[in-house]
Amino acid sequence: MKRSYVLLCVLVPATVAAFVFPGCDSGGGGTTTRTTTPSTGGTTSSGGMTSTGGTTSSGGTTSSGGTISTGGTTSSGGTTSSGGTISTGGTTSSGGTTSNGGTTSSGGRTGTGGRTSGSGGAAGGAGGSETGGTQATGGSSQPGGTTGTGGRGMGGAGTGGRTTGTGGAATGGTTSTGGTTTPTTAFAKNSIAYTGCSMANNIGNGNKRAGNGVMWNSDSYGTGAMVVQNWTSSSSSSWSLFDQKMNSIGGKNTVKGVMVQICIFSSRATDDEVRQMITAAKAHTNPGTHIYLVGQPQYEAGHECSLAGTGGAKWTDDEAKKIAGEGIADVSYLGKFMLDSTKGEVMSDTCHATSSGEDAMAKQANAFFPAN
Amino acid sequence: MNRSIGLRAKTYFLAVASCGVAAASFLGCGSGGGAAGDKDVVAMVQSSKAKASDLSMADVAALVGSAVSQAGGLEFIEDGQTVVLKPSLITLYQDAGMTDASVTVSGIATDWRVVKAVADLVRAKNPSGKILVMEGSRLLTSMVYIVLGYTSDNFGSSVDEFVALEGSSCSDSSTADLEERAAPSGKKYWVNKRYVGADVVISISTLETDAAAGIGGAVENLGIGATPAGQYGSGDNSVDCTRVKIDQSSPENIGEFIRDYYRLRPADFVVMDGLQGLEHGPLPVWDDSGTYDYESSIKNMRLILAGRNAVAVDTIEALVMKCDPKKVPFLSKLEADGLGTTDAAKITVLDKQPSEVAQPFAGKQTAICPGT
Repeated sequence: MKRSYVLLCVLVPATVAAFVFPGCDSGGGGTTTRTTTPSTGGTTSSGGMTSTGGTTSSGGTTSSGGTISTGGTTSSGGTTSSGGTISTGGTTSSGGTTSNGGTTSSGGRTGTGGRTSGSGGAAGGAGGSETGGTQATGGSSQPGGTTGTGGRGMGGAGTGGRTTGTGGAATGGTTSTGGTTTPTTAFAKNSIAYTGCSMANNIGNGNKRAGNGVMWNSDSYGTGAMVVQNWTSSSSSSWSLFDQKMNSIGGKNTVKGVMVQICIFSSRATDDEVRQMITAAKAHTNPGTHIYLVGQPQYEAGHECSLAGTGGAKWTDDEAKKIAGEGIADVSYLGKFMLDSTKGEVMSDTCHATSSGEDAMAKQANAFFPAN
Repeated sequence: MNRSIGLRAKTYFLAVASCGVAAASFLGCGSGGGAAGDKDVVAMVQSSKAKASDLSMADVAALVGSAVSQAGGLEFIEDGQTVVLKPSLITLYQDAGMTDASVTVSGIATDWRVVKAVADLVRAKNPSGKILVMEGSRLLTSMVYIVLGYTSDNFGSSVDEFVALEGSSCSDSSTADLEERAAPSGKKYWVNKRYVGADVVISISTLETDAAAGIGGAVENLGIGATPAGQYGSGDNSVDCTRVKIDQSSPENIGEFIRDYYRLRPADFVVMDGLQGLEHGPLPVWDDSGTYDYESSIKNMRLILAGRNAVAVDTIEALVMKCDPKKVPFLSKLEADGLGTTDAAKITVLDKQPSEVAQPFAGKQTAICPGT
């Protein structure tokens, strides 16, 4: 499977990116100044294209250094570095599309290195002595990148990027934490499957109109009402439907990844049920097929989906992050699909997407999975 | 407890055929009656408003009050009794899980306003007793209640409790709240203790064809919908209560089950929500004899039916849908058991006559409901 590092905040329209990564917009201010480009130092340093240093560094396109560095397209260094498209360095580096370096590196689409227990991301470079830190493990399937070479980051030796990573000056570590994020067109037609409920079906519907062909569409694949519990058993009728769809688009070998949506009713789901769903997804696909865990669509602040119950939609996103952070091989958190009811993207039932909402999510899927 | 009253419709004396035509004028009309000589009585009223969707809460209450009154009223209910109101809430969707059913006049689920109107009539007779709404949906009933308007906000003090017959989940196999009872056939069935032990059970069903049984209605509402999912569902899905362990392969087979289960606790009174009828029921997308959608399957009937004998009410329902009641196995079996008649000549229909309002309803079982 091809993989790509996608700087969503850079590559997609600002409106889309802002929905997907709240940190893409300039973040909140700090105790000193609210800056745009760059923002450096201070107790809290946030926002701006480059946000560096300070106790808390968040938001912005590049957020690095500091004790806590979160959000932003690139989040690196610091004691805790999380979120963002690229999250590197630091003692704990998690989340983001690419997460590498640091003592513990987990989550992210591509995770590398980490001095002790970097758990890597979906398809990213394995840690360990070869490509990562001293004892890092994890990473799902492939070590390092194609050509990138990492510097020695604060959390251990960094690892290379996938294509042309050359390292760079790390703000949280000694040197750099690895490669770059040269966007690549990485995904072939129908290579990303999906499971989920009507909310996933909404995306599949949108894919028919506004998709780039990478993710499945909903033709002959109605997943309405198929919440987590419908996908836990590998022999369920939902998986039979999945198999039929997969066969119709070329079979297992076509599928390189599965977006597994955590979709719930108000009774929610247990951690074990989510893990069972992942296990079932692996059972129905080839070994090494990547699982992109995602919650239900998220909405603008204050909006709730009645079917999921109060706080339910957010819970699914939190759950996706949590389970993806457990270090299960070939599993990572994808990100958020966003709907805005104030823009007519949500039906009156408060949950489902309208046609325009479906199209909006299809475009977000395009950003997650660029076509090759 | 007074469980004998439900099957005593033939002992009534007062004919109320002289009640007026305008539905709104029916309140208080014909109290104390319910039978014409030896015949079972079914009252059928129709709103003069053009569309079911035009009906207000007051309109619905007036229609229900009129039908109940003409059918003999609820004089048999005594204060202090436990009264179960059993609506039909088979699902909360109008399609394959993509779109929520309308909260009112969906034709798929009993309009909560009909149940509220019945509850208010019961409360007037039973101010200190318990009024329970009990249902076992195909989905988690506690959630279905909320989505379809069965909430304390809507019902106030007229209902004491909304009970999900499946218990804590669709896979709740506990028998603590159940008891095993033998039907007259000798077969044993699990039934909810509070349901079977209630002093009064009122079936408040919809007016629709049924893909498996031929027709839905008052008897089927209890004969399938009152079964505990933990015993009759798959047992391995906490939110899917589909009764896969009940043989629904033919009208004959499911008819045998319905006959037995209904006889465990026959209805004492029936109110049928025929405001919006539905062909290709219980949900058009489930009728696999073709491809049917919801919008083209609803029937603007604006009817409320009521009676003390469920077999008689279902017989009139069948005639309204131009179905053949004598070909509905569960009706003919119950008739053979002496629980009612499918002979329209032996039923007194008050107010609207089937010939005045009948429309052809199509269903999967074309031998029963040809749709012409």
